[in-house]
Amino acid sequence: MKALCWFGKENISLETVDDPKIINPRDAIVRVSLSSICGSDIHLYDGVIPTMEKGDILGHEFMGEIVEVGDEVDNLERGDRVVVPFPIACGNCHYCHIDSHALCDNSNPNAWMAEQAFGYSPAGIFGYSHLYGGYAGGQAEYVRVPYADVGPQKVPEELTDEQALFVTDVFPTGYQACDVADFEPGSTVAVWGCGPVGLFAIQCAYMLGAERVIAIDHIDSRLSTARSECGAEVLHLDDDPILESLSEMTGGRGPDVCIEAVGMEAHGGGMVDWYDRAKQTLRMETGRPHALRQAIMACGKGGTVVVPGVFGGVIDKLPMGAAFGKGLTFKMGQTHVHRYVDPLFEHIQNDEIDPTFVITHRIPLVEGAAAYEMLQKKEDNSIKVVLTP
Amino acid sequence: MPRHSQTDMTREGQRALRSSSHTDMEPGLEMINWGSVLGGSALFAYGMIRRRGFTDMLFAGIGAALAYRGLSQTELVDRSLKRLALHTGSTEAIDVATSMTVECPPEEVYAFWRNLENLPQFMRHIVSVEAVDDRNSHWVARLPTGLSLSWRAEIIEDRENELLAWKSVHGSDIYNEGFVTFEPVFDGAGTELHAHIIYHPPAGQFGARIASFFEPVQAQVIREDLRCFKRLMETGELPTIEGQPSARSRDQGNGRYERLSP
Ligand SMILES: NC(=O)c1ccc[n+]([C@@H]2O[C@H](COP(=O)([O-])OP(=O)(O)OC[C@H]3O[C@@H](n4cnc5c(N)ncnc54)[C@H](O)[C@@H]3O)[C@@H](O)[C@H]2O)c1
Ligand SMILES: [Zn+2]
Ligand SMILES: [Zn+2]
Repeated sequence: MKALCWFGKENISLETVDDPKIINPRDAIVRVSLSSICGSDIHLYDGVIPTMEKGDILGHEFMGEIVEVGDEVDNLERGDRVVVPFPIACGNCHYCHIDSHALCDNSNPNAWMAEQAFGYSPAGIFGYSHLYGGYAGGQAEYVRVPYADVGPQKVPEELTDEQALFVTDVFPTGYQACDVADFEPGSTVAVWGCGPVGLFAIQCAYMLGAERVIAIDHIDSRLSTARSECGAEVLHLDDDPILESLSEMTGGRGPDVCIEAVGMEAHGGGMVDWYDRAKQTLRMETGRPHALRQAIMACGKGGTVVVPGVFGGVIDKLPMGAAFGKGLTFKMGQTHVHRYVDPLFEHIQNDEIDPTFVITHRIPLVEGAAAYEMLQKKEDNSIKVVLTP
Repeated sequence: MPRHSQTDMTREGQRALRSSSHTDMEPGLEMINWGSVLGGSALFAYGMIRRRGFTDMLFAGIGAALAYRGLSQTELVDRSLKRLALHTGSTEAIDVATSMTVECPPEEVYAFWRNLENLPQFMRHIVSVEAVDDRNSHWVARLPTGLSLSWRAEIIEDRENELLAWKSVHGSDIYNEGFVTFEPVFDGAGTELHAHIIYHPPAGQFGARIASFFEPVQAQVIREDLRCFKRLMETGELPTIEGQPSARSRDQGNGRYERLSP
C-alpha cells in the first residue's frame, strides 16, 4: 500500500510498504477513506518530537471502513464506517474505566521508555513517535487498529466523511479544552492559536456558555476565520499589545480561562525567543513556550490555564510566580477522544456545528508531502488539509 | 535491608523470608579463577542489552557473573561447577522490588498467580514451572545465552489473596527467594501487587560493583514481567508493533525501541 512516511526533519515521502495485518486478537484493519494533517504532525515534520524512527508511517487523524477484524472483536463487521480516536486505549484499565483513555495503562508497548521520560506512561498514539508506542499511522491506504472493540466508533449515516473526520482529534481537543476548564456561563475565554484546535476551542467555548471569546494569532487569514466563522474577537500578535489589550477588554480583570492551542513551537520575538531557539537547537530546551508564558501572564486571578498545545520535554522561564500569585489552575494533556465521540456526533447531527469549516485543502494522499510543507509555512491560507488515498 | 518503602503486607513478606531457615550457601568462590575483568563482562552484558533488548535480560546478571568468573558455558555443563559458580558466599542480599496495580480483584489475581504453572505466560525467561506438590515446584529458565538453569522452589508462606513467599531449596542451580503481596485498591476492584525478588551477588568488591550495575536492570526486567502480567489479566493480550508495516527494510529492524543502558 501507499503511506506517508517520516525520514527526518522536513523529510517526508510517499512510500510503498506492506499492507498491515491483524497481529493481536483485538485488532481490526481499516481501509482509510479520509485522513488529515494535524498541527501535531507539523511538530514531527519540524523534528522537535524525539524518538521518531526513519520509515515510520505518519497520521493519527483518520477514518474509513472496517475490512478485517480479529477473533476477539465482535462489535464491528466488515463494511462498518468508523472514525478512530487518535489515542489507543484498552478499555479495561483503571484509566479507561474513568474515561481517561489518553492515559491508558496498557496500549503503549514502550511504556518503560515513557516511564523514564515522564514518570508514568501515557497511552499509545497512532503515528506519533516511539515514546507513544511507535504505532503505524493512518496517512496511508490501510491501518491496523489495536483494541478495535474499544476505539473505532460507527459514524451516523447522515454525516459525511468530512463532517465526521475531526471527531478523531481536533474537534474533541477544542471541546476538552473548554470542558476541563469548567467555567461559569458568562465567562471570558482567551484562545492562543487559531489553527484547527484553537478554532474548535472558540466554537466549543460558546457552546459551553462562554460570554466572550478572544482569539490571538499572527496570521491574518486564520484570525479572520476566527472572527467570521467562530464569532471571536481577535488580537494580532504582532500589532496588538496582547496583555494590555486583554486587560482592557475585560475591565482590568483578565480572562477567566486562557487556552494555549499553539504548543512547543510558538512564534515569538526578542531576546527570549533567541534564547529559546538556541536552547531548542542544542536540545537543552525542547520547546519555545511564548504563548504559554503569555497565557499565564494574561490569565485573571483564580483563573484556569488549559494547554491542549503539545509539549514534549523541558521548557524554561515559565512565570511560576505569576501562576502562584494569582492562584491559577492548570489543565493539560492529550485528548480523551473516546469520551467525546458520541456527544460530539450529536452536536453535529443537531446542526450546532459543522466541523468542515476548518478544511481549506482537499488533496490526494500522493501529494501529502507537499501539503506538510505548505502547512508548516502556513502558505496559501491553509488551515486544515484532508487527504484522500 | 529494606531500602524500599513498605506496606504492612510487604513487611509480612520480609518477615516470612527471615523466619524460614536460610538456604545454605556453598563455599568455594576462592577456587574460581576471577581472571577476566569486570569491564569485559559489563561490556558483554551491555552489548547483549543493545542487541536483544532489555526484556531478554532476566538472568543477564547471572550470565555476566558467569563470564566474570572466567567460566565458559561448556564448562558449566558440569552441574557441580555450575552450582559453584552461581551460589555465592555473599551475605549482602539485594532486594529488587517493584509494584504494579492491576484492575482485577485480589481474589482473581492471587488465584492466577497461585497456580504457579501460569507464571511462564508472563515471566518470559521461565520455560516451565511444574508443581511437584502443593508447596514445591520445579522451575526451568533459559538464559538469553542459551544456558538453561533449573531449581526447586518451596512456598514458605501462603496467605490466600494476600501473600505468597518462596525460597529455592538446597541443591538448586541458582539461589533465589522472594515474595509477592496482593492488596485491594479501588474498593476491591483492583489489586496492588508488590513483588520483591532477593538475590545474592558474588562476594567481594567486584561482586558489589557488578551487583550495582545490574540491580536496575533486574528491577526493570521484573517490572516488565509484572507489566505483562497486568496486561494479560486486564486485556487478554500484549500490545505490540512487531509485524506492522513501515518503510524500513528488514535489516533496519522493526523500529522497536530497546533500552540501551541499565
Ligand atoms: N492535546 C491534544 O490532544 C492535541 C490534539 C491535537 C493537536 N494538539 C496540539 O495543539 C496545537 C495546535 O494544533 P493545530 O492543529 O491547531 O496547529 P496549527 O499549527 O495549525 O495552529 C497553531 C497556531 O498557533 C499560532 N501561533 C504560533 N505562535 C503563536 C503565539 N505565540 N501566540 C498565538 N498564536 C500563535 C500559529 O500561527 C497557528 O495558527 C499543536 O501544538 C498540536 O500539537 C494537541
Ligand atoms: Zn492531532
Ligand atoms: Zn486502558
